[in-house]
Amino acid sequence: MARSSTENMITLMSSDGEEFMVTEKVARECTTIRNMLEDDCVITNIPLPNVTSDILSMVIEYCMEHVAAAEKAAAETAEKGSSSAPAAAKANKDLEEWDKAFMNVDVYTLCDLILAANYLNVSGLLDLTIQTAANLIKGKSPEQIRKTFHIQNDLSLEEEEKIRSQTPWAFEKSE
Amino acid sequence: MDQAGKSRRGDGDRISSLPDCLIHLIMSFLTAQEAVQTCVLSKRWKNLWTTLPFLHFDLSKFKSDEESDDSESEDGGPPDKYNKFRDFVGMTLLLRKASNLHTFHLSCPSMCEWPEYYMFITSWFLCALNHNPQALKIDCTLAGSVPLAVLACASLQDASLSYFSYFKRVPNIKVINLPCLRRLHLSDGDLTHGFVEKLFSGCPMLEFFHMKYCDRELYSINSQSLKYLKAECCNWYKATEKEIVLIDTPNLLSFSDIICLDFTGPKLLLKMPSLTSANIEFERSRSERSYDGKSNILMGLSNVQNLKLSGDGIKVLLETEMLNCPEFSNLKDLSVDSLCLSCLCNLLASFLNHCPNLVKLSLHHSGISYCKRGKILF
Repeated sequence: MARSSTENMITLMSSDGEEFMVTEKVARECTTIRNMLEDDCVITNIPLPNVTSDILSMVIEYCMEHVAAAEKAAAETAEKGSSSAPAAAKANKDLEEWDKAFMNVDVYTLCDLILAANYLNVSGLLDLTIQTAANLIKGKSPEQIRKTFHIQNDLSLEEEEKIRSQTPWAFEKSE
Repeated sequence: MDQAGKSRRGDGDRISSLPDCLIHLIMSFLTAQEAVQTCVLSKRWKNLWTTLPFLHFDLSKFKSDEESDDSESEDGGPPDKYNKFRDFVGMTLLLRKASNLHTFHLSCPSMCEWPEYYMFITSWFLCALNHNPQALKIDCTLAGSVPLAVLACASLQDASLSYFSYFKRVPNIKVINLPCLRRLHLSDGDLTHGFVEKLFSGCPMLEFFHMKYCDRELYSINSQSLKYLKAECCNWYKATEKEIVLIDTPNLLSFSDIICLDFTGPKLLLKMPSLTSANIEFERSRSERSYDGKSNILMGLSNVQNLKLSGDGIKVLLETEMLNCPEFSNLKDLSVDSLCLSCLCNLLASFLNHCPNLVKLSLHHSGISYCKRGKILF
């Protein structure tokens, strides 16, 4: 991606002390950081005590990809006057493919990404991770959902039966 | 899902430790049935659905264990699945504990063939309206009593209503007060002139207005906030012989999929100085009345960057308005679709003289398209 030498660099520090240098533009993809920068424009070092280094590096990877895609689209529009619909559609599709590949993670990483996207307020990443988690639930039986997300069933058989009998209208196999 | 390459991060039950609001967000992508059924996962999940602010009830996605899902029951009554859906929606709304409902989607158009459900559907709708909804999507006929409360729902930001002809049967809708409404989607219904006028004055924040299959008179629109107006498959025809139709939308950016039938009848005035994109189909007037040229359709569109014109009426439009044709100095992309491009040749050539900055011209004829980029030589 194009990076001018005059562009401000921001250092983000993860909870485990690792430092990440990013351009201000990438950092601004996180609404939480954007708000900090707007409150105090000389800030260059931002500690993020709620995000570990491996998750933070993924969030930055996501933001960089999306900033680059937006810059590319803007450059094309400026060059050709109006953006051509097929090229824009292809760029969108490429970004969607990238997002899809990016979501090829285990459920622990997925849940940590949800928390980080929520904390840093990266709305695109939050939508993507939430949708991915929902897709893992859709069409599955309770037992399959527990297995997918490693949910410990702490309900006894009687308790589970009781819940089902209290909400028979919600279940397919109702009496 | 577990993939090598990405680091494996600890173990245990990560999803259950997410805060309620994030689990609710995940549930917002599920149907209400899938969301409620998570109550048996574990103690953590037992009551999560009772405070879920997003409810999507969709009969077509509703699963029941009946074999004969969609067929009528033996005694000629409604399918058993419909009764189960009725019980499910009713119980979910009755047993939930949250006072607010962010999103309420109800889709059950086929249930409306059975009058015994009208009362239920209306009561669910009213129940939703009583919980400060921000987004409503109702896809079914409300043939029963009319929930006029929807027209005075202060929290509503995004509404989508289908088969809404019930508004027409109410002789005098006194008040439309939707102070926060930004997006409105209406489909399969009738829009009367009075309703539309009240609608725009009662929705000071409305930015997106999308109509689909709403054949109605060409009516005046006056809105300061409107940015996107789309009328898919809606034939707009003139109301009365001498009427002036004024579309005054100073902030409108996009005016798309508009089909003007009989546009030569009323005097059509367009005031949309911010417009950047327009897509209009002009149908040839069925009556043989000559077009008096008092409308200012071209003038109203003269700030656009993208313009798509189609239909047999282009010829009449260009013939009558060419004399007063303004300069389309922002126009970069022009697309013309007509069955008789050769009859338009001279007119288009004159029109192009008014488009000094055109970059792209596309001509379409019965699916065959000619496209030229760059400097245009006619």
